[in-house]
Amino acid sequence: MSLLHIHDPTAAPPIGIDLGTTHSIVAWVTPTGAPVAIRDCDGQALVPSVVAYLDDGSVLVGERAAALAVERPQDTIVSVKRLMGRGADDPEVRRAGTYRLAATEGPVVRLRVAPDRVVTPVEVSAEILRALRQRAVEELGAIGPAVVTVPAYFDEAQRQATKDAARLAGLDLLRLLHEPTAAALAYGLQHRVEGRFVVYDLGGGTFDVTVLELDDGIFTVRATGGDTHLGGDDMDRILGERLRALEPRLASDEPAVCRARLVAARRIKHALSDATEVQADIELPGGHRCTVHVRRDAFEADVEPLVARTLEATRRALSDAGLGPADIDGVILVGGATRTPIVRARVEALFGRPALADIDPDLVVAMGAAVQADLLAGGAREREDVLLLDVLPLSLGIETMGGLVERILPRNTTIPAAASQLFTTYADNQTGFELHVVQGERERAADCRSLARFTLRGIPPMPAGMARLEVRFEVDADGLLHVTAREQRTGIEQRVEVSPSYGLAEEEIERMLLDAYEHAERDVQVRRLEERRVEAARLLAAAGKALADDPGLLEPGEAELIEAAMTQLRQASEGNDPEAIARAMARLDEVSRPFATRRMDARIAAALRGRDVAAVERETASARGLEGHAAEGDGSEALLTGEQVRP
Amino acid sequence: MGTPGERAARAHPLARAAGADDPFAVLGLPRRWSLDLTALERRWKELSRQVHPDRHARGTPSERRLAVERAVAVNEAYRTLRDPVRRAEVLVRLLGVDPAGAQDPDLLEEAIEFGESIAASVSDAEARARLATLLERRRDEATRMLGEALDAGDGPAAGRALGRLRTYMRLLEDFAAHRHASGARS
Repeated sequence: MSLLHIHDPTAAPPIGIDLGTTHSIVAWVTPTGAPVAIRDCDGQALVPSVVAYLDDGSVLVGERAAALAVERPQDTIVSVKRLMGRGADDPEVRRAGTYRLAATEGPVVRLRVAPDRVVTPVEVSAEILRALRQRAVEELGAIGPAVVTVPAYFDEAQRQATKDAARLAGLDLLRLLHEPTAAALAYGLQHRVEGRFVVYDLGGGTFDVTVLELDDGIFTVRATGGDTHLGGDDMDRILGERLRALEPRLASDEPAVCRARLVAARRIKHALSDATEVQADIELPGGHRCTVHVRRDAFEADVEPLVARTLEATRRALSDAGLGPADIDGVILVGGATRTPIVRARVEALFGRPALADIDPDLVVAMGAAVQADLLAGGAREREDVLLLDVLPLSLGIETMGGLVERILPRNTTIPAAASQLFTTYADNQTGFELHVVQGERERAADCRSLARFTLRGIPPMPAGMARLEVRFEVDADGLLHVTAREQRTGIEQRVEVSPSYGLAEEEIERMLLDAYEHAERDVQVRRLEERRVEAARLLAAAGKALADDPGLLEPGEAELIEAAMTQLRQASEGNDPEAIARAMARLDEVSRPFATRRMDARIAAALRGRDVAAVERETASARGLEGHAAEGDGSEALLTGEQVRP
Repeated sequence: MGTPGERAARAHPLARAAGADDPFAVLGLPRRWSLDLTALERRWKELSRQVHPDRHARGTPSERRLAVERAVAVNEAYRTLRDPVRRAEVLVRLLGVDPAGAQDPDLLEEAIEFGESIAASVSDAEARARLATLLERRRDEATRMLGEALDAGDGPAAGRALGRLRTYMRLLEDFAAHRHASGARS
């Protein structure tokens, strides 16, 4: 069918992005199936996650921005990932130090930069993503959809902020992917039949440990653990303190000196990976220089407590998974900080086996993200049967009487997931419920991360304990939460979609998107039209594929109906009205919904009988045949309701 | 905020809202108490392979929404059936008995006595070991009774056995918590 060729995936390869704390990488999968990081003309794959704002309004990203870090510390934003999804009064923001804050409170950090601009971490991250996108476009000509990685430990607000940044950067985001899971894909562990693996990821700013189980092509995250406040940056800080003690001119708290100290510390740390002692020549602000001498054993003694903390978290994750070090079939090292010899030695000692470290630990996550993007977007090659089942990194709950947390979805629940909980009123004639959504493992709501607050109103007065409020939490495959609340007894169908209390409001993102387009000197209308056309082409391809794959599940006349809607959409796409395209897309989605439902349930029915869908379709001439199977099936009727399969 | 007379207040949990649907049906498994956990996991994975949103990442909006709905149902059913107590709750409910029904007063009294013994035995290692063995034996006994009642389709008896099983499991949890507390002191 010619329809299948409208969206040629090989023309615009999907990309994988590791948006890291200290540096970021973009990768893709070559037509031969090998994931590779995209390098600049100097052969550099790593883009420092640094954004510099200049007086003339221009923005620099990467090496050129990093070069300005000492000179312009307040206009050069480093480690912005640490500020993602945080409120202005978050302790993490005070820790960041040298920046000018535009506000000391509010749901989003706002930084004042040159020339008199105020930017949020989402916008800063979007600059980094835009630079990576540009790099990929230069290398590949055109790019397809993207997978962006996040630490497994990222909470709801941090994931949402990452999604917003991808959108702002104009990426077509397929999915957020856990960094450790990406690493496992880069190592091709999916080619093994089964096994249990630990991914130990000590990056610049975060430590993640993940226990993965592989069984017949399905990766299940068994447990995750870690610390968002632990990484190579902390080693640099610790070493910086040593430098401060060694050299009086490095002891000042002036921003430029702090930065010089950290830059020197990072260089010395890298040198100590190969040498047992280092004599370093350090550039000070104002053109002065100094020399310091550091031995590896002194450095290792300094960072020992930090390494011990990572091993503690690793043991905890193992015990969450009900496993011991001896049960593990492989350990993957990820993150530049794992090049530090003491880290590798301690990890190998814990598991009593050599670690997998032959892929560059800085690139492995981006390469895995590229593999996942390629699997999801579907290239021209034969797809492998790989599936990643992720879990919720932190428990989600509601604050109840006395400030305690009632957990609704516990940590390590496989996502997507949903759970409901009934609540009632505690006072007579109470007409509103105040709901406070929190994330974390602590008993008291005040010790957990506050995600959202909202009030459900309009409950008629009744005695205490009579109302029946059903609160439903739904977490999608990206780990993003949607909360709805409904009062059952009175039949009030009041639903509340929660917007997170941390992060950007939808209107603000819209405004940023418009700003971004203005900077790009492109007409908003033209841009919107182009986006709609791309979406329309994708929908047409999906609908065409569905018709081609499952003709046996169509009802009489249904194919004609869907094809008519497709023709309408094709015609709308040739016109210049983005709204008309949107309407035609909605129409096509609507008329093909019953067919989509039947296709989904046919797959389920086939899996319940342990046969593949193709085999079922061969023997199923019509939907009537399917209904017969449902009736004889053992309980599968629950999924094949009369509404979905009409006689 | 709010109109005069309106009072927004913190909610308190009433009861765990059990899913109205039958998790056995969702996973296409026979409604039985004894369950091969390996087979259960295999079934969960087979279904996940079909319905997981990643499998429909490039589908139409309807397909993507459906995938989330179905994957949620499959995961929820798996989570319920994997846990023996929750699995028993479902079966008891399917037999027409409220699994959170009336407590047996004798059991309540026994639980209070056990609670007192746990508190009193903090410093007596021998008494603690005896208590632990006794509690575990009671739990295993309740599990056996539960299985027999469910296999016989006797809802009321299964409900009673489930109440006992829950009580002993909670007491064992308390016992473990006490051990941690006393361990931290010494």
